[in-house]
Amino acid sequence: MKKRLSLIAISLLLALLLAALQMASNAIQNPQDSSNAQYYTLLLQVAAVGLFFLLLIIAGNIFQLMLRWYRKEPGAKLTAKVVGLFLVLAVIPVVIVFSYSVQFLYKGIDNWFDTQIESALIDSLELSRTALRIREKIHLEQTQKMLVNINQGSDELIAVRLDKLREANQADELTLMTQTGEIVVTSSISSSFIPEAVTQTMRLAVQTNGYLTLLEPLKGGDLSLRVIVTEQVNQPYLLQAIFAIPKRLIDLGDSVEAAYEKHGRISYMRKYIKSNFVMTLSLVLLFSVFSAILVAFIFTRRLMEPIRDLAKGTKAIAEGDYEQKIQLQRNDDLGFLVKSFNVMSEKISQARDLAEKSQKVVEDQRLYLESILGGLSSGVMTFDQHQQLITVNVAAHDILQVEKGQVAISTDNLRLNTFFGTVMETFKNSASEWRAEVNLPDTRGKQILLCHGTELKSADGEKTGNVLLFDDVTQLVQAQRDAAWGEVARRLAHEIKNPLTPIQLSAERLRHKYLRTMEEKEAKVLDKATSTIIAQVDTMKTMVNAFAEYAKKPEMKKAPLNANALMMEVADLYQHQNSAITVKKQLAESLPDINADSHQLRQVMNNLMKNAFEAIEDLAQGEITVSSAYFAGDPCIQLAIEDNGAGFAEEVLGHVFEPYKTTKLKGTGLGLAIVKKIVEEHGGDIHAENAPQGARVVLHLPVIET
Amino acid sequence: MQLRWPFLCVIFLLVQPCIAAVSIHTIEATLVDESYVLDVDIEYDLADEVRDALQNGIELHFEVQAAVVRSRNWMWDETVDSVTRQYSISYRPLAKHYQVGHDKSEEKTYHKTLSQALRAMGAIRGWPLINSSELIHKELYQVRVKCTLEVDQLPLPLQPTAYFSQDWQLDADPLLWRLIY
Repeated sequence: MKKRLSLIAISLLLALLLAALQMASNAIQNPQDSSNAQYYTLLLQVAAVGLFFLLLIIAGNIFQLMLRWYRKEPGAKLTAKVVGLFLVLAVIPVVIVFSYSVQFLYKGIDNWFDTQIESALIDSLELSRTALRIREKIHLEQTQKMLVNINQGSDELIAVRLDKLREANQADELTLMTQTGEIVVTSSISSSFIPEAVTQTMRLAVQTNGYLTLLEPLKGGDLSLRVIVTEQVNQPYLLQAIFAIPKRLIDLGDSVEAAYEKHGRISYMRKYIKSNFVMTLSLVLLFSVFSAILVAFIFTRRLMEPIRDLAKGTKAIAEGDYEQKIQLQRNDDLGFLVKSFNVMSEKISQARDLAEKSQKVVEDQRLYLESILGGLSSGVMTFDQHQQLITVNVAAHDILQVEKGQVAISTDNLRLNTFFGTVMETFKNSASEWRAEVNLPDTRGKQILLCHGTELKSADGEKTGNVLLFDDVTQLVQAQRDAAWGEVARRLAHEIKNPLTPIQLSAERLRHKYLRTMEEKEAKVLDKATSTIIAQVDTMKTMVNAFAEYAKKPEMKKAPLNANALMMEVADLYQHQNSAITVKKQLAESLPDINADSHQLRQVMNNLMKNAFEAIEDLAQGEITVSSAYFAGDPCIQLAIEDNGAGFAEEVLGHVFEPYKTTKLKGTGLGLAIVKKIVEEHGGDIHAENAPQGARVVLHLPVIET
Repeated sequence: MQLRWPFLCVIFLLVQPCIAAVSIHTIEATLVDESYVLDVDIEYDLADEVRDALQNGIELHFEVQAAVVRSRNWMWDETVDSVTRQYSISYRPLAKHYQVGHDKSEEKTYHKTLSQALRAMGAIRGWPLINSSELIHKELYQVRVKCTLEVDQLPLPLQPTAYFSQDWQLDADPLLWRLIY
């Protein structure tokens, strides 16, 4: 719309300038014709103003171009080049044509004025004037003669004589008047006449010079000669005679005058004609140059539009925005280029989408694998072919008891070093698939890991690394061991208990039957032997009962229980048994209830307290601390009994809760095994550790879920 | 040199110096038989350039306009009536005299010298202006007379020059005459 408007404005301006040019040339051909004259100057002014605005527009465009040049915008240089080219192409021919036109114009216009014609015109004008002067002279002499004639006659005859004289001298009018201008008598060729008035200026001229001749047009347009004369000395009258100039003479004179006038006028105006032409041509020149520049600007803008868009588009694509589409409906080469660009950007965008999609699939798979690995209770590690660690899952951290991200092959962690040392060695020496058990030192003793190594292979069967799968089987082994012990105990109890009663009975019977009948010496032996048998069978029974107790599946009577109350009770029980030993209580303020068999749990506590007591019996200042703790949100409460004794020996620590692992001289060696069994049956766990001073046993028991 | 023309045109249009070579000397309105008649004296002082043009057969046309204006305090002045007269002056080379005409009538006066012709053209006598019946009694009026050169009547090649050359600035500044009926 804007373009069309400016195009219309430019066309209008061109039309105005051409009209002005046409008028200027018309004016030269017909200088008299001024029918359009009033528009000419206006036209020139409008054209000048139009050119001025054109100049402003161009100046604006140039300024914009310079700005774009300095900003290094795409297309600025090309625009400048095209505009420059247009300018050169337009200016050179136009200036050549202009200068030649001006030259020809000057010469041509000057050539119109032939000096011979000019002098001929002046001569003919002079000739006409001379002809008139001769006539004037003749008529002056005639009139002077008539005045003399009149003055000589009498008054009565003047009117008649005047008529006669007028006819004789072929005058149109004869008037006799006084010096003051009063008409005395008059005679005219026409019947109804008013004598021509004589002004005071005329009379004054006559009185000074004695005569006056005046060439003047008549009312009908013909030229006439007025002659006024007076006598030289003291004459009272003036005589005015009017002679018609012959029509032929007038026509010739007029024609000469008209030709002279026209020639003179054109000759006078030639510098103006030239300047007008030059001015109009200059306007046209300026217009051509300006419009060439403007058209260059418009053309390059149109040309640059898709190029600029393309540049912008490629920049956007370079920056990663593939959704660029250039809107352009053109059927030329640029249109084709733009279409190709659009196709290209679309293809890139499609490729990018595809890549994104497959990346997402890979990511999904990775997450899927990760969540599976994370959900696994087994530890999983992968290594590359250079035995560098790649992946470690959450369970691996838990099993190896390290913080997340702390798993590394070479570290100063003893457990990790042991673990990786064994594993790497096995990887190196074993076939593609292997199984092995790895024992790691643990605060609670020994941790047993069951490891399973496999080779990782790529799609084409090449070895790319290793996978290690491992499980913490410590508890499993423990449970198996416990179960085996239980089974042994049960069988032992069963198998041993059965013959014990007959043995005892038999011994008693032997004793009862033969003691009295035997001699004293022999009886003594029998008595001693049977007593020993009975006593040892008794001991054996006790032992077998303990075994049976251990192997027995206890009947649980669970009820909500406050562990603090139980701890208090147990602590109070042992408070005053030995003055050398103090029992300290560090109980949590609010402890949630647990679901437990109070009788069994009390047995556990008693057992533990007893062990602690025995550990510090010989100390001068024994101290036992019973404590309970609960951290909000935890599933378990924690109960602990700590002493300040010698602590557990390092080699015993891992086996404290196994049967027959005791440091004490007396006891069945089943106490702590039974404790552990009870605790596990309550869904909790128990472990022993060495405190900074002495030993500590810690229990965890699940709270009642609300 | 000629190339400067279009720019100068614009500049001249904006800043045109006011040098009046034609001036109105006197105005006098007199009441004759219930209508006012005007006597005006205009002094035409032509530059050499203009005289030269006249000598070379260029005819000059002047328009004299007389307007009766009623002064109003609270509004712009009201033009009650206005009359115009056209005068022309030209040179006849054959008879070597100057010819003055007015109102396109056939009546023309002839003068031997330019100064006589200009004086004759400048002395306007008994120009009927307005009938007194059109005026309100005791109201203040002004007679405004101005004289302008009719550039449009000049031959076309001369017109741009006449518009922009100082020598051709032949418009007289208006002169006022107070009139109380």
